[in-house]
Amino acid sequence: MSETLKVAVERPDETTAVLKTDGYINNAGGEEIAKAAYALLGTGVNRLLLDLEKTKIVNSIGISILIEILEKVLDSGGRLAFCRLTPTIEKTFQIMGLAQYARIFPAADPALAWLRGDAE
Amino acid sequence: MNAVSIRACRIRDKLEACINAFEHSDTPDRRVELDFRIGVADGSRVYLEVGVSDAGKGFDPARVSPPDIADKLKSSRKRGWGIKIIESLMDDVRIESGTHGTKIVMRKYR
Repeated sequence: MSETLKVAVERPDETTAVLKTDGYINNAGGEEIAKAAYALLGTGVNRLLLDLEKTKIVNSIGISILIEILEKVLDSGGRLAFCRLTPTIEKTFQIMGLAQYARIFPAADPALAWLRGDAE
Repeated sequence: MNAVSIRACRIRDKLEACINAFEHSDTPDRRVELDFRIGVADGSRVYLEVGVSDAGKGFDPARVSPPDIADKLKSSRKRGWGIKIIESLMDDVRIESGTHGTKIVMRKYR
């Protein structure tokens, strides 16, 4: 895991994007994700998958930025999912109630199917 | 719980407590002290205890409202998750706070 968060973006289709993070989601890391997410929302994407396989720590400031992203995705009528979370991060998201508004998946494929409405 | 997840909880909760101390304490010296203790409870339960102290203005933990995700989604202020996260991931959390400052002691059993 790198010190400075990196975000890699993939576009499996016109309205869906996958953001793969690598690093610590703190204030700076969260802002990096938000910058990438908001750029995508401005181009017609409203289904976002955050793949956190290479993120081992998220702090509360980073979480608050993820909630901002979630709010914008929901406001655009879209969906947001997370995949490949560490057990600690998944537990944190569950405790916060984030899972009521954004689904959590163990892998990318079922997450993408849910984002596209192919699976519940 | 395996060693990796214990380490992840430990680092994360220590960070949360430090963030809170720096952000909210208004401590005049901008210092936060950390102390670590490994101990055994009830004869066999090994634990790690981390203390985070500041000499700031203190606060009343009973007056901190637990955050709610539905409210946060509608609010311009998304912050305020630190104590909830700490309490959820650690086994015991003790907060001592007054005009002399605040100390939060977090314990995780092996």
